[in-house]
Amino acid sequence: MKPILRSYLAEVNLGTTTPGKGQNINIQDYPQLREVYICGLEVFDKNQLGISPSGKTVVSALSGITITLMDKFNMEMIYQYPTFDLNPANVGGFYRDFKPFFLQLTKSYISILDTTGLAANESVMLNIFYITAKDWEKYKSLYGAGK
Amino acid sequence: MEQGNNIECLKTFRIKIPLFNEQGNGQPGQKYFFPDNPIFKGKNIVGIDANLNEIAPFGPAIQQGDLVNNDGNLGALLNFNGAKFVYCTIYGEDQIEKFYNVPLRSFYMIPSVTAITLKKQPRRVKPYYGQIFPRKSFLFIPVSTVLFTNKTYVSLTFYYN
Repeated sequence: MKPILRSYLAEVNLGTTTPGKGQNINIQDYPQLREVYICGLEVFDKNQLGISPSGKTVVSALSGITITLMDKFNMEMIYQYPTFDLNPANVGGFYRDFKPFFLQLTKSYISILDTTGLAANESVMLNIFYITAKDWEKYKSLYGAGK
Repeated sequence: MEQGNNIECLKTFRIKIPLFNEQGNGQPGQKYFFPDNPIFKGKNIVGIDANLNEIAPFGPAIQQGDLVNNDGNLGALLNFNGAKFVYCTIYGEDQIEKFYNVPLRSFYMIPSVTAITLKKQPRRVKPYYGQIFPRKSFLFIPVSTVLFTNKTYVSLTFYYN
C-alpha cells in the first residue's frame, strides 16, 4: 500500500426509493475532491460502519454494487469494479491503490446489479485517497507516475 | 519496525482521546478533540492504528498496561462495535484538513470472520502520511447514535519517523 497523503469520506445515497437493477447513481460533487488525483479507494458496509456521518443507514451488503470512476477526459479508468473487493475487510485489511489519475467525480457513478439487501435511503461509503493537483508534482514519484 | 507488509517506521507513540462530555457520556453530533500533545510536533507520521477492546468472537478484552477497560478517569476503552459509530478527522501541520471523516473502524481492519471460520489474521496499519496538527483534529459521533451512554476513550497508535 502506498502512503495516504489525503483522504475524504464520500457518501453515495441510494435515494428515496429502492434502486432498481441496472440503475446507475452518480456521485455528488464534493468541493474538496475537485482538481485531485485519486490514488486509492476503500468502500465500507454495515459491518464496518453503523451509521454514516450524516446519520444515514449504511448498506448491508456490497456484493451487488460496482463502481466506475472517470478521469477528466471522460475515460472510464476504473470500470464497474466490484465494491465488495474494495472493502478492506474482504481483502485482508488492504486498500486498493491505483496508479493515480485526474478524477472527475461528478461523472463517476455506482451501478446496482443486484438489489438484494438494499433499501431506500441507505448509503454506500467511499473513502477516497487523493493528492491535490497543486501537490501532484511534489509527490508523483511516490506513486510511480510521471516518468 | 514493520507490521504486515505496508509500513516501516522508527518509533511509535500512543495517545488517548476522551469520548465523553462533562455529563460522562458521548453525545451524538459532537466533536471530541485530540489532546494538544506536544509529541506531535515535528513528527512525520507514516501510519495510524486504533487500539480497540475486542469483543467476542474476536477475542478477550484488552487488559494490559494502561489500556485498561475501566480506567477511573477515562472510563472504558472503546470496543470494536462502538468504533463503527466514530469518525476521525485529522488536520495537517499546515492546519488544512488532511483526512476527513476516516472511519475509526478502518484503523483496526481485520477481515470479516464468523464463529465457524474464526481465525486471527494480521491487521494492516493504514499508511496515513504526514505531519499532524492535533488541536484541530477530532473524533465525531454522528447523530442518531445511542451507544455512548458511559465514559469511553479511544486509543490511537501513531507510527512515525
